[in-house]
Amino acid sequence: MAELTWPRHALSIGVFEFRRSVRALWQDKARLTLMAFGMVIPSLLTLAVTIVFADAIRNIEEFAVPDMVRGMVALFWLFGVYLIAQRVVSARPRINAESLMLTTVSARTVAFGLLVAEMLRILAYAGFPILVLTGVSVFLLGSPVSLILLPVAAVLFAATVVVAGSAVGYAVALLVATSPFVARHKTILGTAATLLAMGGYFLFLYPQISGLSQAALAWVPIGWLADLAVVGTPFVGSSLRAVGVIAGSAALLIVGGLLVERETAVFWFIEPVSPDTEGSVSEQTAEKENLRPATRDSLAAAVTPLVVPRFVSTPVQRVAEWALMRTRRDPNRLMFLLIPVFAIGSPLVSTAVQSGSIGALGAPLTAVALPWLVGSLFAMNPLGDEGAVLPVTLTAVSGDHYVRGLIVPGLVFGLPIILLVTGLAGLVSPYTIGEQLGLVILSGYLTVVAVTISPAIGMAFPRFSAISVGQSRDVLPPRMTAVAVHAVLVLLPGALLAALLVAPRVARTVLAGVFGFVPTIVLELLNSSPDGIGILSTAAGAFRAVGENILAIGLDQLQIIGGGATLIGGILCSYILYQNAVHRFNRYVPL
Amino acid sequence: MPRIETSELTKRYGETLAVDRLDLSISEGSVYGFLGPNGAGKTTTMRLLTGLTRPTSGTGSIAGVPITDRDGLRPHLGYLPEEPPLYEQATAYEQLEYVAGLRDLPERATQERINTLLDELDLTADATTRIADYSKGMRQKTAYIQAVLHEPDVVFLDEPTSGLDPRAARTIREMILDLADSGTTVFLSTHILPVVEEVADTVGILSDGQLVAEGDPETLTQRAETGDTQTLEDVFLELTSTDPAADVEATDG
Repeated sequence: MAELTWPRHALSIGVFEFRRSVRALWQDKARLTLMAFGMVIPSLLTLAVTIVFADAIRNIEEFAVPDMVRGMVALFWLFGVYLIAQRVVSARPRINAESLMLTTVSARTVAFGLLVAEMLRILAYAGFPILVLTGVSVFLLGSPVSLILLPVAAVLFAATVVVAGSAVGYAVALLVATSPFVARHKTILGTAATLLAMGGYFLFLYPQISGLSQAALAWVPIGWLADLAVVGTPFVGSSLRAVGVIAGSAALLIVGGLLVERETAVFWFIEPVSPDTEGSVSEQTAEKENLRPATRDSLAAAVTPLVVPRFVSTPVQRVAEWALMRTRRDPNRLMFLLIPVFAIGSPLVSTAVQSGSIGALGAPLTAVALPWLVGSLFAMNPLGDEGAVLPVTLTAVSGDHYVRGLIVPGLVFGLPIILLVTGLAGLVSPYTIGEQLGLVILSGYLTVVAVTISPAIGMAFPRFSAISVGQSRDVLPPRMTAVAVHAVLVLLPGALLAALLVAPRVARTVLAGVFGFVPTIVLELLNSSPDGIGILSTAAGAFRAVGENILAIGLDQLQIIGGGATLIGGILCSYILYQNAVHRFNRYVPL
Repeated sequence: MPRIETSELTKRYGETLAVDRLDLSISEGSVYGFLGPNGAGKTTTMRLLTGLTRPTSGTGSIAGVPITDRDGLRPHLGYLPEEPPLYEQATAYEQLEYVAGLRDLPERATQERINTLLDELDLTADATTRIADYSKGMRQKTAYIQAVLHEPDVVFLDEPTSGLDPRAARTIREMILDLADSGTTVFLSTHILPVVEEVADTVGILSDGQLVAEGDPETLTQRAETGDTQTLEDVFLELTSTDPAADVEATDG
């Protein structure tokens, strides 16, 4: 039985964990900026729209909340549950300072404390948008009751998402901890689950793809939060549903809370099975060195079924196997890749779907984005990934071998997959055979460039300490700067090459805009001289001329000269950065 | 009644015995030095006794509370694991106040106790510095204070002097003796044998999960038949050797 004061202690843990999160975030300015943008910009946009259309909003006439809105709420809720579950499984299944906490308070107190902390994080993130919406509802729609009900709906949404997501997450974590099969294949199973969840999400988000509308999810009771949120406004919901969702949420919180308590009480006190030995025990708790099978090539066995080809030298093979094993055993480090995928990929796909050009976009997107992804997998933080072993590695292997070892996994395992996928994407695209073949070759070229340049970038911007609280201390993702530099070096030239191949006219227009007309417009706006004379005006004229000259270039010429220069630039860049990585490794002095 | 008592306490991981039928009886106010080579089962034993993992078989109790009753155990024990359980983003003061709050300790008395302990361990000047900026020794001292803050009946210390400079290590040793004098039972696991020789009333040596020797340091270091005195290190090496010849020698001795 938990101590009598457990709710107070759980709240205390939640607040303390939340404060730690804030402090950790404050120290990581890149993440802070990213999160601030993600939070402030949508709110400001909403605010701007409401100000512009204030009169129209005031005069909205009553109409019933459509099923589409309820379905949308349910869809976001389900996606939120997936995100929280994924977070619990991959990053934070255990509390920090576990031995302290579990000998100080009950498991129930810790579990509820973690739930409170997670809820506070969500509310902190969503606080500003909720405030804006509440303001709009109260002042423009004339609904004073929204002052209470809209935040209540938001809190219920956050609380139920956290509790349901945690219940699912701990169930999965428990499965990983008890089933050797699941533990061994958690990366592949996790990837499959992610693809399934994301696929389901996009099917409903973009009805154009599947014909499934969000309205199809209106039956999910959590979507009735929409009915609660609009009480008092001109949007008319169902009172019965509004009351029902409060009762339903309460029931979900109680049942989910109990489930989380049960799961954590088991999960935190069992010894997780080892992913390496069927039915064996974890490395930390077994304390028996002789538990591990002393096979001579245990490193190769650890990455099976993948096999690093034997034609590379042994040091290169070992570094490659190590990079593969690290990626496989610690996929949490790669969560950072989801940020650009969502930030750039989501609007791109959304636009393509809505304009009906998904087929035309799919193949070039695959040819450019997949090489970047594979290039980021193995070597975006090689020195930091070595951790305490770095001095040993530096003295054990040459820079040449080390860098080649980091490149091998991407080339051996990434390249064939990318060629195949791009080829398949080309088959369902509207492009000619020649263009399809060109895209396949481009994807191969970009893969070689992406994996070759990543070690140098990763070494130039290493990260040696784990980020952020609430995540496992072992999670050591690369620096955002390294990710950004790598993305810019691969995605921009890659996009240009793909555009030159399948849409040269678009490429020419974009180039003229970027290098000519956009600077012209900016300079002309900055020019305060009324008669249009001055340095800025002269510069604007020069840029306009550049833009016009680019537009005047023939498409064939642009493809051959522009494409050729970019291709050669990529090869040169790869060579220079490869040499730079070798040099950096050979000269690196650990602090 | 013994403060720590176990009977046939066993922990099995799959086919491997981590702790094998351990019988302990440790009285109030004593310091028990728990020795063993790496992988002998010391940490597993401590995790069993602190309720952090469940025994496969056998029983155990801390201050009369069964080790399977985690909620009953908590008020009676303090635990300092080998890796100090601290929050990097907090200051020592914040960390200690937080833990005291979770244990429902009275505020005023706790403040005084925190200040006294910080003072004794020479941490007062750094108490408002973030733990992320602490040295290993400062972390160890903070974690030690955290483990004894609530004046538990039994304190489990896993390598408490690890990473400390000689002065701080001596302070910790003196504090262990003070704890024992005030009636607290100290279960001390360390590889630094002179520390055990200095502070322990009883020494237990664990090898391959089994308690292979137990007694006060003087008895253990005394060769029964010859009357020669060995160091505790000699005894430890003999009893935990995997070399059969050494085993024979140890048995003969």
